[in-house]
Amino acid sequence: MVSSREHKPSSSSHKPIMEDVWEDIDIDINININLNLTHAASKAAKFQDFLARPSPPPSPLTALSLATRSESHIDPLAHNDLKLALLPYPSKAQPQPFPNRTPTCDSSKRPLTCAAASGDTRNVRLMKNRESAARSRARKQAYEFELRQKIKQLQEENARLRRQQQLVDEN
Amino acid sequence: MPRSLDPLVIGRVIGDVLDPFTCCVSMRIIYNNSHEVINCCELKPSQIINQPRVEVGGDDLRNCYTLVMVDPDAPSPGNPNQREYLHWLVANIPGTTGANFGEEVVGYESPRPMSGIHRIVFILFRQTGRQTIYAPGWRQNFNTRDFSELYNLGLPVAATYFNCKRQNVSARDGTGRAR
Repeated sequence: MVSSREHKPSSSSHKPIMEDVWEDIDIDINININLNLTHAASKAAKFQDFLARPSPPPSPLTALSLATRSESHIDPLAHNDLKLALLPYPSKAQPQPFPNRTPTCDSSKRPLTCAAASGDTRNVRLMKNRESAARSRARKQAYEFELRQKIKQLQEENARLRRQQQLVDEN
Repeated sequence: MPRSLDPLVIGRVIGDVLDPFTCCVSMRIIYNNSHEVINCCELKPSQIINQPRVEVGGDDLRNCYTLVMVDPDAPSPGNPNQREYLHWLVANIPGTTGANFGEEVVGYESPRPMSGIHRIVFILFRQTGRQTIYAPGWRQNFNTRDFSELYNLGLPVAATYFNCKRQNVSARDGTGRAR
């Protein structure tokens, strides 16, 4: 970034002294800094003035500021989820305070971004309906099986208790 | 019971939340002294406001158990981006006793599903010994598998689940699903 000039259009032909070298670097730095900062920075500002300024102007979008900006956007205090004792819990599944908000997409089977085409929306809806129908069938089947198990269990218990009762009655 | 007919498998609890395991400790979960949870039964939010009575089996008072209650279908079954939502976490439950004898790490939060029919899963782990279990930073995006690995709990020893949906149901569609 900082480059000293090869060809210096200098009137003097003397060997470059320290001040000249610094001036070259000064100019180069200024050029590079001004490319990054806003135009509020004076074009004639020297390096010393830049250092003397209290704080850089807030707005410019350098790569660094973009990174920090996206991180600060997620404010852990802002979202209203329950906060419990904060102790280290290194989960592999990183908790996401703000889930991805893709409006109509089901993330499990169709990972495409939401297309505006109505065909896609229809397909997404059909897919969701199919999934929910499958879940409903699974629920029904599971419940029926569980009920049968319960019936068997209760019948056995009933038989056992009757036998016990018989024994008590005989005595 | 053949693996494929197990309600936990059919209901995809094994898969979404748990790995296949062998049930070896009994666990009974009873709400309001009247509604016992059996797999895939349906309970209304009004019936599950207060924490249930949990009876843990086993045969030794010295064994400690951890109870986890999660909702893998939060906020909705079609888009479970908060899977799993942690509702209750009780640790160091002595064998043959109940959850009220354990240490409540995460307080009971009554499930209030907004959309769709949610599975609410109870999982019981046997601890190797008495151990300190820390609450996670937040309830959502809890991962039971990771939790078990972190505290060296191994596979579950018991699990059960019930279904729960929103109480106010619109007249048009019977599911209460938000459109």
